[in-house]
Amino acid sequence: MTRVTIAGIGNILMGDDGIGPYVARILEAQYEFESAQVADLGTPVLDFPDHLDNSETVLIIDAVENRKEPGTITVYTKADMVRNGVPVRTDPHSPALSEMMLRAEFTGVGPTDAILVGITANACEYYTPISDVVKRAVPAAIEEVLRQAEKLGVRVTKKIQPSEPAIWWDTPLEVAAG
Amino acid sequence: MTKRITVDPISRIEGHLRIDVEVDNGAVSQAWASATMWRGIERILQGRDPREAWLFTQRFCGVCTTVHAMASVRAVEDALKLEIPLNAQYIRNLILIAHGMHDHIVHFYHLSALDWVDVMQIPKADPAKTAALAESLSPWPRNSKMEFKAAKDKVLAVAASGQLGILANGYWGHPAMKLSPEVNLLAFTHYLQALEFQRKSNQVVGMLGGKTPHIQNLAVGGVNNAINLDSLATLNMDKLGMIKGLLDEVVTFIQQVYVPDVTAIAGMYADWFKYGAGVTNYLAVPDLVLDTKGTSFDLPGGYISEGNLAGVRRFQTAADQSFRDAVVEDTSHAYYGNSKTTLHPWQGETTPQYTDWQPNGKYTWVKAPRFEGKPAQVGPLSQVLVGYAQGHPLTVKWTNAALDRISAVAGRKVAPTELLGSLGRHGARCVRAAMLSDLAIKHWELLVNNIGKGDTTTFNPPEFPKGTIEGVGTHEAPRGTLSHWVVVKNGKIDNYQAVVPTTWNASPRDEHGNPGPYEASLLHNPIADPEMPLEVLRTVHSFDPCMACAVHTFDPEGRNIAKVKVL
Repeated sequence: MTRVTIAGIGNILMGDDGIGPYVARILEAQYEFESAQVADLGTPVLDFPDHLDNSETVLIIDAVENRKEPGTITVYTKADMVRNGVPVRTDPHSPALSEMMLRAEFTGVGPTDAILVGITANACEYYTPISDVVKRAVPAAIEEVLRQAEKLGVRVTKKIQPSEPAIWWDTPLEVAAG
Repeated sequence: MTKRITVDPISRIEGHLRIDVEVDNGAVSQAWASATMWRGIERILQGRDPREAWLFTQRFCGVCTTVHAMASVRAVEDALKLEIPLNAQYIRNLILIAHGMHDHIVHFYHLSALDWVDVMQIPKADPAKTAALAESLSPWPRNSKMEFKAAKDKVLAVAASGQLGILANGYWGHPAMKLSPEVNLLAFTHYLQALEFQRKSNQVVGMLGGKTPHIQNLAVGGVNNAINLDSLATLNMDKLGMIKGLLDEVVTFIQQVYVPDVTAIAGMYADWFKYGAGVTNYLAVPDLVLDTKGTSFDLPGGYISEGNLAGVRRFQTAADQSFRDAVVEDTSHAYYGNSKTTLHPWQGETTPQYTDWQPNGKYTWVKAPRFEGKPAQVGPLSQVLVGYAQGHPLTVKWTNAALDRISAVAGRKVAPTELLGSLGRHGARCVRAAMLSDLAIKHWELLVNNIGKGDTTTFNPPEFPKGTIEGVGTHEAPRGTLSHWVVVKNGKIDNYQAVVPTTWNASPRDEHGNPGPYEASLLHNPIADPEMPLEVLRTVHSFDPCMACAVHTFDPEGRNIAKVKVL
């Protein structure tokens, strides 16, 4: 049974915004989780709950804008996420996190709790790689995710034979000949 | 007195869609649509292998992942003139149909219904009367008094708690809200049920595509779904049976809930038909391919100029020559400093040149696509009109059914030409969803029958020639005409441009000063209360805007609150 979904979210094409999927891919390749699944959910919006199956809790890894030093790890609770309510929606991309949680609360469908492991972003710009300062925070982010997962009662073990993380978008570009 | 209203969802670092309107005597006199974030997506692909472009393009956007994957493989296939096996066409079609049904349901119930439905009227609703009304509209089995009472109780509990949560931010009590408490309760109950059915439709995408949100099964040349009816690991009768079961449920929801709801609400707001027509050039590409060469389709495409339905021009193929030749992107009012203001997508450039928001100069990151030099509206309304004008039987069947329902509620004959406004875009979207619901079953049968004949081919391998080739991949996506334009040089991507539906609709003015569809459609919209510009949202939402292909950074300080600024 999957009680917890560990979801990396963010746009992999937008610099530090892609740190969530990046961490998720490493977790997937290197750890075994009992009663939890790891997913790179990209930039989910209103379909967010659809990807969480029957999870009670979603543990999110995402870039955050909190005016701290880039690369700082901060843990947020569900209360932090829904504090500011839901904005007037003009398009489906408006922030979905708070809306998803509040809708799950209202309908009784979807995870009842959420924890966010946030990594302070440096720059989220179209096609820049993840900044070095944010990449250096990856081990600390992984450690924090594992700590939070264990607090949720998820047993985590390191894979005996870890695979290469499937970070396919991070491959350097071959220069076209001619 | 002139008032300027800005609706700007300040979304974290970069914003998305921003609308500015000037209001004179209670109606919009000028409008500007702008995107506050730039897309340099095309730059990401230069130098890459065209066979993997679709993996990147489906990350453009959080909402429309599938459509960008599809348009991308089609662009490369068009450049190679590659035929696609029938099974692959049917599997792709089923994915597109399931995605389309999901998207239309979500758009109506979860993105725009609350522009028309006042949830705070629900405490006054009588569930028994609601059930009686619902039964008069539809045979849907979940229209019982008990269902409506349960939904009403939820709203009562939330209202009593003082913590409105998900319901905190509607324009409740706005003078433009006209529905009775019972109709509000009916629509809201279906809003809750719709969550279930949009999900089932998305499950079909996941089952055929390997996974959502990012499908895994595409390939330039076909799909990589292995078909073996006797193997558990592949697409077999068991999985096909499950897919059929899910599709049946979604089809029923669309025909028994979505269509009756939209047509009833439209009939009750019949005075709104006159607002929001805007640009009346309509563009749609043909889709749901029925053969390996891409010459016959279940959804027709074409072009209507200046609302002249009788003069509809038909596109014969998905990348029709008259389409290829007619598309340019104009950047005279967009933040680009390209070598020329208008460029064909194959020669397209994306050189940023940011200025401030200048109403008479540059004011947006959205380029202005133009068809034969003119702005064109895309989306379900365009598709339905293009099909209706050609006498396409499936389009005519569902359009007439919807018009009959609307007319019955409105108490007067509502003509097809009345669909050319904000409310009509909702009506056309439910017509398109109903068409897709019929086609869902048809294409499932086409796939099963073709496999039954012993055909298990799903892929034709691509081969890239030396030299330069060009291709365009089109898809009539839920939000309208999508086209990806690729130039391949010696097997590597040399140029790549995506002209997306919202670029057509949210386009700024062009070199001739012609406004884009959002801008034109907002003119003369009434504005009852500038502090709560519900009417602006109604018109903009009717297009199903999907702006900027998201950044997802979470802002704990809540700078992500949409701002309505009245000057």
